[in-house]
Amino acid sequence: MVKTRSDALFHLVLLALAGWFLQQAWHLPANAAGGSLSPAFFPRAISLSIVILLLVSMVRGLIAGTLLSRDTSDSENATPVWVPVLAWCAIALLLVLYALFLEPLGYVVSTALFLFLCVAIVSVLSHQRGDAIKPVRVLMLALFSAAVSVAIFLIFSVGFEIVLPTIGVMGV
Amino acid sequence: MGDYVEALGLVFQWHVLLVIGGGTLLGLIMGALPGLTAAMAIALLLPLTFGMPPVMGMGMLLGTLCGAIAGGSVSATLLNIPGTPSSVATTLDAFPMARRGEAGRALGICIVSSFIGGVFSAIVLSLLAPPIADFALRFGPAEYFALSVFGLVIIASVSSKSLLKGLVAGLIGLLIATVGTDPVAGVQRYTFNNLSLLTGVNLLPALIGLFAVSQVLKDVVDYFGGGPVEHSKSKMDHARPRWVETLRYWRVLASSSVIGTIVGAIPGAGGSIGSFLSYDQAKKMSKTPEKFGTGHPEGIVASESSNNALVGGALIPMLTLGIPGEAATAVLMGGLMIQGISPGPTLFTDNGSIIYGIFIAFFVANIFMLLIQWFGIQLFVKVLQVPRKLLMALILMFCFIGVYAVDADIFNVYLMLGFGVLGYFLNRYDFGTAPVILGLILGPIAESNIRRALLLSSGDWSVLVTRPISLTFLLVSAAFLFFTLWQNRRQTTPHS
Repeated sequence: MVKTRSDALFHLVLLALAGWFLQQAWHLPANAAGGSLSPAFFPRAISLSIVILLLVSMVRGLIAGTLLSRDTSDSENATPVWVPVLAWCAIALLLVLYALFLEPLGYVVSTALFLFLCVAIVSVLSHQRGDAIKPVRVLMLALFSAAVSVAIFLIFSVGFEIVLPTIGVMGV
Repeated sequence: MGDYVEALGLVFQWHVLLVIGGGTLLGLIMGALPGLTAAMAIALLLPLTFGMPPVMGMGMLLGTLCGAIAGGSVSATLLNIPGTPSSVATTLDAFPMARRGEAGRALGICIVSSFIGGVFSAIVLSLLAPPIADFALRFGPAEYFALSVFGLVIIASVSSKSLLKGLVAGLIGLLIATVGTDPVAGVQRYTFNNLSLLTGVNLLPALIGLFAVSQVLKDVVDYFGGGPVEHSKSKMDHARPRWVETLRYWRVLASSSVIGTIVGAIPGAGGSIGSFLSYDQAKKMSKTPEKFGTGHPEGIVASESSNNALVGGALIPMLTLGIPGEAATAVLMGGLMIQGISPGPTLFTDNGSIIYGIFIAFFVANIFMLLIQWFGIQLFVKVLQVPRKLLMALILMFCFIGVYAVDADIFNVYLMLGFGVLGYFLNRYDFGTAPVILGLILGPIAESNIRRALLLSSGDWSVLVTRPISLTFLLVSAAFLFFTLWQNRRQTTPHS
């Protein structure tokens, strides 16, 4: 099993989150009627258990010497290590932007933009140096994104009668 | 009997059949694509079932599950990449056969084997589930709490490479399940005055985030790191069901279907274990074991009949006890709960026609699986040629529309993204996502039942160990925990 420094970091993030949940659970009412458990019992017990198990997991990782070891990425892979990280961050950011603009821009426009940018980001980052980006392909992608978003909008809003956000121009 | 007659009426309506067929088709397409799991396929189609009657919605999801498992054989045969984990063993013989120019023959054997395995498990399901549910009717709050502990321990043990991390994932699910209004005293917990959180964390964004968004985020990273995919170069021969050739290995068919159903019914055993066990058993029973791994039909029959038999087997504990054994059935159970139906023994007494309708829909889904594969196998082969980057974008788009469509609440979309990122990192660092979902599902059941049990016993905790069924579940959970710990230790010892 490959463990890395980021494994330790993820343990710490989870530990911080569990600690925060535990601290918040202390504000919940701790009294219960009839010998039953209080509303605070489960949140406290669970977050405390998470903290303990994470600490045990970290100690075991440290003893085994795996928790802080370096990432063993595939050195034969031609793609630089930062490319997938950048792609991941770009797609994650795009998802947040899609959620942010879904209602203000309406479903059709925001979805068309999302599809276009999502494919474009992956294409550009996987683009081989020396290969030219063909304008026809860009145009085809734009047309595909627009057509898919309109088709899906019609299928869901007309076919399934699902309310999707619109900007009120020509019904989309 | 009356329930069965009523259930037949619920299933055999043209629009219900059409929906089951549609679900099976989509499942087959998604299963054929490597990287798209059965759990993800069900999570993506879940929002479509909202307006549907329960049998129709569950029929569609069961069709998706059957299709996704069977569809895994397409990429296993043509690309040497199992479409789903349960078709790993299929690659051993189907791909060598395809390389010899007999891809159609391999797929033909897969079609018949999957069908027979699926139908066998459907028969076992409809025969065994009612008596198990009848027994489970004796369960009180203490037993339900112990059962929840049992389910969580099992899924935490098998879904993650480390028991410790699996347990952390399960506890994360339990902790998230405490968000919302407390089930007994009505106190608000972790709601931060957010109206969307008053009724707790919505299951759908969690399911789609953990199983679909996280998977696409992983695919984005894999897209840049993957090596070239090996295709079987030769032109595909005609892929029609090979009935005679498959039935020639009837012993293997029977033993693998039995093994698949049994392994499926054991919560947590998982798809790949079942098909490998069957493959191994078939090899031991075979007169020509040396041919296994060289493109031998017997190997394909063993793996494919077993992995589809797993589906019916896995439905037994899910429907009778409310304990899903692995990710796909956990999502399926989430689907049932979103429909307002709680799986468990009372489902059989309160909603008899619905449960028998589900059994019949499962039969029908297997028949559709056979027919669609028979006539549409070329379509699934074409699906493999869809560019992955396009597929990733389209899946994310469907995730958004699925979550937003439920109640037009953008908060659920953000929740889905949060679960997506959490799921990505949980998978990346071997914590697993299936225990989180099970924790989310079992959390309220466990909490309300232990509180009710203690209320009835005036705070006496011994109620958990003085009742035989509850004690049994707790002892089995403890035994399973120790066994997994021992197994983990044994696996790590040679390396250290």
